[in-house]
Amino acid sequence: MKTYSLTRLLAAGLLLLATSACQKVIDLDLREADPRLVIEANLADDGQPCTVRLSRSTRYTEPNTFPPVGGATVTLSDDAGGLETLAATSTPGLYRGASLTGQPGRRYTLRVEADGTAHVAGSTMPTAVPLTGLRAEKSGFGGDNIYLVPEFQDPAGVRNYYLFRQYRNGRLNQSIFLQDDELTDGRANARPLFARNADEADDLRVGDSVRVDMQCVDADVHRYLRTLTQILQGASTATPANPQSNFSGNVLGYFSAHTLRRRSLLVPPL
Amino acid sequence: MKNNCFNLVAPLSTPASRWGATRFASGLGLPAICLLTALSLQPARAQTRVTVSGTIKDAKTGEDLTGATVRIVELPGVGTGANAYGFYTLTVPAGTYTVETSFVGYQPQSRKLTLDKSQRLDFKLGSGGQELGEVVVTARSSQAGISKAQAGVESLDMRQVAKVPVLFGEKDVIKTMTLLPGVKTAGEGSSGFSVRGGNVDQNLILLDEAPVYNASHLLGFFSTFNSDAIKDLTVYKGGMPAQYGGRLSSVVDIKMKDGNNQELHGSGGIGLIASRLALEGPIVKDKGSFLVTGRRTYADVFLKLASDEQINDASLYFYDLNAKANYRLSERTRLYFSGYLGQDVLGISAFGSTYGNQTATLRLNHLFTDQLFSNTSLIYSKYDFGIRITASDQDIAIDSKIQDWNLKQDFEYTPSASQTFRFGAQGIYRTITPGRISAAATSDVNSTPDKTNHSLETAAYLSHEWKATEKLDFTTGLRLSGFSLLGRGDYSTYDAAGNVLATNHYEAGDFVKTYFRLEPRLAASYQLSEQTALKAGYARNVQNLHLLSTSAASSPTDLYIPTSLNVKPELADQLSAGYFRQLGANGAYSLSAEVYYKWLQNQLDYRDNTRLRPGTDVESTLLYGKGRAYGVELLLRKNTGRLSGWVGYTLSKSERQFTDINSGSWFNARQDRPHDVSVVGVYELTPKWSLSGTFVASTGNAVTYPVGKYQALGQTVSLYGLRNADRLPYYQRLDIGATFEKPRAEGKRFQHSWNFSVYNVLGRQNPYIITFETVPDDATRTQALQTALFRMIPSATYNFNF
Repeated sequence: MKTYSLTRLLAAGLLLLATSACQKVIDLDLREADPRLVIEANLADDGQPCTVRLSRSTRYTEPNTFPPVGGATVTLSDDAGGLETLAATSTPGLYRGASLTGQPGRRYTLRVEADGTAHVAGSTMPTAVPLTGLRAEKSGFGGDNIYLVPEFQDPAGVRNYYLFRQYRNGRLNQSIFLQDDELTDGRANARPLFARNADEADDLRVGDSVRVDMQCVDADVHRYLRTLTQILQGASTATPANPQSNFSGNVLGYFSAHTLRRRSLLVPPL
Repeated sequence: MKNNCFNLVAPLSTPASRWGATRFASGLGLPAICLLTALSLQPARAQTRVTVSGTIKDAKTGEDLTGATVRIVELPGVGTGANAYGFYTLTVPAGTYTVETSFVGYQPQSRKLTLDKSQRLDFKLGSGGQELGEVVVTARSSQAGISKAQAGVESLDMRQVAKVPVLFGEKDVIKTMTLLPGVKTAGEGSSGFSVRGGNVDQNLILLDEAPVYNASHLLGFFSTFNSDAIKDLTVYKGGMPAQYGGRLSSVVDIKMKDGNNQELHGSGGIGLIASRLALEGPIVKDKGSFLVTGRRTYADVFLKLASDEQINDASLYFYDLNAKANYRLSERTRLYFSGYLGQDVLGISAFGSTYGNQTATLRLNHLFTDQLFSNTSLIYSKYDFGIRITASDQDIAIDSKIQDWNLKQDFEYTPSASQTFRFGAQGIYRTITPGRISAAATSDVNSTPDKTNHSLETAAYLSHEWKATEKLDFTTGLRLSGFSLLGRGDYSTYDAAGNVLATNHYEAGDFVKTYFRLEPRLAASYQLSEQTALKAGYARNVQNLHLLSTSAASSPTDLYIPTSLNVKPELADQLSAGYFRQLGANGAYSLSAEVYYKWLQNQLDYRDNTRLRPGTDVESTLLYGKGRAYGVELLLRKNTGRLSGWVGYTLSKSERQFTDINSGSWFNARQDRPHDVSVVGVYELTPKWSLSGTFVASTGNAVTYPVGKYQALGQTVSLYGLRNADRLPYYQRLDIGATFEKPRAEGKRFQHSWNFSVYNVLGRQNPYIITFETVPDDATRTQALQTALFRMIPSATYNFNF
């Protein structure tokens, strides 16, 4: 439900229209934190091995290049006795497993040792919720914007958390589409993937070839992604805080064991 | 016009024979004992004493003149002020006296009479007229400031507010109040405010005694107080009198006009964004009057002009309706009714939102004896917020509500000219419905359970105002406040991490939890000379209603929660002291310097990464901590002459400490702005034209900036460090205004005036919010983007009355 933030957005927007709000880029003297380790680890149930990307944070004023972290020891284990060490790949900072693959219901533990410190995260791969269809529709709020609606039946009685990624003509929309069933438990989904597209190239048009990846993630990963989204959308909270990582220790990032389902569509005339 | 201020600071002398016992007690420095001894000893020593009492009103309109003073010329130091209902009472030895009454902006009156038995004496004062040099912008504290024990209190009346330039030309008593030292606006264009470092929800805003829960329209750009309906405002920043309670930081007591009880009048105005109309007149001449005012904005009229279909169909407006009536049932009994209804409406295609306040107050004044005044109030107050989404098969409503039924009894007993006792009791039955979804079966979402809670807030108080000697004044008071959370409902206890330990079900009528707290209030002043006084005070305040906001500004969706099993009553202890001085002939200038230190306990904040939704278990997301706030407030006013106004400066700190925030170290509260300057001036250029200006400058709010960045999910993400460790750039704004008043033509009823103003005339882009983002057309870089809300807003308002 976006309604709460929508009210504010709407009211602010209308008021700003009528007045003389203005924006400008400013120079600020920002304090600098020591570089921190960032871990992005994913394991899906698509038969592919686990991938882990290690990098470091930088100063805010520097370009968006984030130094990769090599020389780390990365091990993945599961609650069925599986264990493997992920090998460094030719891409700096990228580590990949070989044999261990994702199984829904299983709990996985990832251990990353870098700079002499070990960080451990656990993630349970949820039961897969089938993505039964994908359709395009015009906004219920009027206007010509086209949104995609992933069709699936939310299982009743359990908490489910979903992450959707959307591709337009093969290009990934950077928006993080998150859903959960706190208010929609047991329902067939009817909510479109809604985002304020920063880039016009993400706006859908009739005839586009689109794809949606649906991930079922666990509660910790969902909370991480939710707060990450808040930060990405700007200062929507008064007191911004870093997303809560599921890794131990003073690191940024997450380890997500998730199911993955895909659907594609040619956007029909609406 | 003769200035009256000077008279009021004449030395106060009390016949020593009469007050020997109580003076002795004060010598011991035990005001609390004084209170008791005064009670028991006073009647035994009485000689032939008589009481003169009555009301003080405006001669033309019949409005009560709250705060007007009465003194006996022959008995230096014997005097009193009219209470909130314009009533005064003075008890003196029998004799022949000159009774003089005065009030700022009015011609003083005196009457010589022989008092051999108690008698009633009503005054009707004429206003000063249109002559140059009339007092325009001044607060009444400058007048009575020296001899009253109370410090940290300021008053504004609407005549003063009228000429101060404001946003969109919509005169606003709350906005003008934030120009006083110690009162800080929560943000550009916000109606929220912080008093002496407190939070926005720690202010008790009363409209004719009824609490107003969300005093803002259009997300805070306007306050809910229509200037046509308002008589005056008094803000207590510290040392609140014992009859007030329930919030930690301040009491903002706003009184509606009573309405003209002499003849029918109307007034109105057409402004840039809103129009107003008011009608007032007698119900029965001299016995009762009524006032009805209305205001509505028409922003949505402009939206109709938009080419975009979506915007042009949108609705965006608010309205206010105020009504008041009073009727004198007998010489000793008067009945009042006040009501307020305000609503904001926001709608765009399938989406609609409304929110607003409703208040109603029914009051009965009764004079039991000439010395015992009673007021009984039945008060209703409600704030509700709703969203409705209707589209094809969707029908979803989200609503929340807070509602009070409040019964209050106050007594004012004035046994002599040097003592007043106030005592009373109050009970508030409160119902809070947190955000709740009701959805039709065909909708995409489920309904959420109703988590309505009920609570009972009770209080009893006693206070004693006492002129102990010519120079020493005390106000001592004690308030006992109780709070009970009532069934029905499920209530849980939580561990430190916010996990539920146990949940119990309570039935209707069950007391889930009850808290009692004692709130001592002390104030003392010592007159160093006729023009100078030193004051000091201590007050404890308790708060059992907590507002939590996840956003920077106050929002209609903000959530109120009551004290509970886990949420303890908030406590504030404030020590304050001040130096007050009048300067120049006839008190042309007044200067005050006040210091305060405030300790806050049981403060609330959200855990990091909290998300609130209808149905969220809010208590599991809370953190408990403490706060401290301290500062110095300097205020220099010019009260008389063609140029009037004030210069205020505040140097202050406001900090909080929570175990789980910033590793438990003290951090700046969001509203911490160490330096704050405001200058307000009105200049009478000619009898028709007056010019005005306000200048404000302050340190920026405490905020959290990124200390780095990193990459996640292919995007650049800001890395945050310690909470509120950074600051927005400083704020600075100059507003100017001009008022043209055409004098009323001989024999004509109709009079009109024009008000012109320019908000932010220097066009400075004051930061409202700073966001950090990837440069839109260059993904390799990030930038800080500042949004400023208002750059130079000119406005014109046409006002008329008849």
